[in-house]
Amino acid sequence: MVNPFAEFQTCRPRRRALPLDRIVAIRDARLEQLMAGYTAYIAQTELDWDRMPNRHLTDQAYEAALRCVTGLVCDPDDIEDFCFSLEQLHTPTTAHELPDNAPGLWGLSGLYLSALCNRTKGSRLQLRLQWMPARLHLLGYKLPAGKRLSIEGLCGDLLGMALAGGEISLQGSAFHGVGYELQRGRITISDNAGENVGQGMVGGEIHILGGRIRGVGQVCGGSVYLGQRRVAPAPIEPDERHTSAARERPPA
Amino acid sequence: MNLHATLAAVWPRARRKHFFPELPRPRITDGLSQEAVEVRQRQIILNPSFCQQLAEHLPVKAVIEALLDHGIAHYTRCPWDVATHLRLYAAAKRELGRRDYAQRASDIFIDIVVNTHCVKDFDTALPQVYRHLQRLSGRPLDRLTVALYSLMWGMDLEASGPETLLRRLARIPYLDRGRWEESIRRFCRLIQPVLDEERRHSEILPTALLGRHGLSSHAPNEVERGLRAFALQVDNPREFRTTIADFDGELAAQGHAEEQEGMGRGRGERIDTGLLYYMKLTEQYQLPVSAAPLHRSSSSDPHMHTPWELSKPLQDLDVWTSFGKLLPGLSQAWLYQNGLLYGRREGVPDCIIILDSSGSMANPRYLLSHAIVGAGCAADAYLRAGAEVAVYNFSDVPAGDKLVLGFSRERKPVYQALCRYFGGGTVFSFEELDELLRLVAHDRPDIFFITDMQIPDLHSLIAYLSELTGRITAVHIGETDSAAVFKKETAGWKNARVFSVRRREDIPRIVLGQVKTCLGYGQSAKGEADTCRLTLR
Repeated sequence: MVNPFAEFQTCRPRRRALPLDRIVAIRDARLEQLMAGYTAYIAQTELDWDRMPNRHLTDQAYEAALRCVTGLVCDPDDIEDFCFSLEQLHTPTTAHELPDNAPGLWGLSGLYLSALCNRTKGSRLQLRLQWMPARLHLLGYKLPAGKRLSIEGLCGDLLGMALAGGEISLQGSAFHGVGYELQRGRITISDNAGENVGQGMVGGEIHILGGRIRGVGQVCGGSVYLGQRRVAPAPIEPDERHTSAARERPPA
Repeated sequence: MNLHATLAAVWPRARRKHFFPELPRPRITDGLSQEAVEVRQRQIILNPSFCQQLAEHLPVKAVIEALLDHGIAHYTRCPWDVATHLRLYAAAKRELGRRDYAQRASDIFIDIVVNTHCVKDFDTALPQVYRHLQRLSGRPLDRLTVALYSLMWGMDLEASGPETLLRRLARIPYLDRGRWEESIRRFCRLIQPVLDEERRHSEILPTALLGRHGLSSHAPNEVERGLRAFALQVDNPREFRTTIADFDGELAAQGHAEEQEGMGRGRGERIDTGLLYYMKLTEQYQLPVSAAPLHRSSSSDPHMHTPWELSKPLQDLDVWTSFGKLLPGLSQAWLYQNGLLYGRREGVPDCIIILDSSGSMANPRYLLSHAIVGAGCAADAYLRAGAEVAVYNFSDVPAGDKLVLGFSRERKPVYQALCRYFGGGTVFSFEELDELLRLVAHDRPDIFFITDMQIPDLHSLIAYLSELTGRITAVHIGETDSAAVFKKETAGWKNARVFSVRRREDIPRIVLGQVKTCLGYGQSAKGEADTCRLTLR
């Protein structure tokens, strides 16, 4: 008997596997893990923003983030994609109220990203945050030596807090508390910075290349530069240097 | 080389590969076209000079088949329909902000999807075509696209580009239809520096390597359907306007252009996109209008035949169906019943739409105006039923903020009157309404009144409406104290129905001209006590 549908057998598509399929499958799997880790982290952890900056609280939240990212395999491209997904997750209507009402959430997001950056194998990392619905806080927390983090967009508070030798380069502006308790390393900001820059820092350098620092904190060590000029610790003026030398000179 | 003969030979094979899509037979263009593949009203048009140029490197049969694969896949894969195309374009425009950037980016993205599908699913010569094409094009984004193909398809197409950028571009899930919008956003962000570089060197030409895509590729009815779907998808008229305005040339060619008026110089807006948005949006909702009920008349009409018997009167006999015989059981007699006829007026009455466009109402240019959507739906319902519609659009009437449109059966003037926004105070005047009512003195038109009820002289308005005898459908936008007062005052009215609209989804719940009881006519023939037309209070 003649099969009336015989002709259609030749129309069966011969799908071939492309490298794109493999790339996208790996990316999706990793991104799913990152998002699952993030969701669990946000659900389990709390960060009382009213008590910030607080090293103990931040350390606790950071340790929780490290536990969540342990075992996750990701590279700098995955982290970049995660930022895009984070933006999608917090839709604009939700985020409209988030920046002011839920800084804790964005602080946790920043800590999670910091933990990812610190744990990933790549040494050069890039975060594109210019489309983020709100400012992320605590980015670059404890960034270790040998890592360079480039950020595009606006950053929230406490950028580079407790920096541990890494290098942060921000194309944009940051809010308050840049380099809080900075240990060593370098932060470069292309635009402006808010209040309490370098508060409690003991080493390292902060360079603000734009026009303005709203306020410098109590700097214990290291240097803060505004453009080419060092603003903290305050440079000794020539007259003052002369007076202090006279004061130190033993009486005749 | 006979391209026509080759095309005729290749076309059936290309159709078979794509599961026989409903497309007209392609043709080779006679004119001078810049594009390799042009699609006009679903017909694929190939450029002969382009085919001959590529035929120096590849068999002409393979070239034509590859171009057909590309053209057909635009219908079977991406963008598939006008709404998807507009959605992708809108996403690109949101990211890039410029029309030329958005057109180029969306064209290239669509081509990447289409070509990757073809390479994955069929044997096609598209990779070879692109290998030669990138040599001809000097634009950085074209070379980058071919380099991306090399990476994604695992073929050496002799193109190269920045490795980091290519790696990022290759991570986008192009074949996942559900994530196209997200993908094109990501794609646009990544290629923006390349577009800037192209712009620095020359003007951005909004074409991909194998030609550009636009609304002219689709049939007019597909464009209409696409505009309707897109109007429903966007959040506000501003988004619709910024997207659709970029296709003004193609839409004007399809009869959506406005007549330009005024003296002097300067290019006007060829298409009133705000008007188009509301016209397309309201086409989604088909509000019902209660039709005039049937009433029993005093006359008896012949209804059906019954066998004649000796006891039945002879005058009831139907001589035609009885074949001229007078025999009981064989001859047919008429059975009469009470006649049915319409009420005093036949069909749906005319309607006066009273629309509040004061400052407390949403500006329809920037925000979705539920008032205009509701009023537009009402107007459409009456126009569909063959009735005429008049519009009284008011804000501060003594200050001149009013627009009165006499009874019309044309949809566009009605919408033009509805979309006029004054944004002033709210002072109502009854003279204009009286004037409109006088135009139909012999009849009692329905009143469709849509407002947020924030009217200072609300009580005098209620008093005025109470004197009207036609059906009144009042719609208030949002819940306000004034709306509560209006509802309370009109609760006892028999000819009025009040609806509340808070969201777009509330609009289909409005039933025009639905009233509670039917005084003056008694119970209607169909027992539709609440759908009569005239009510005497």
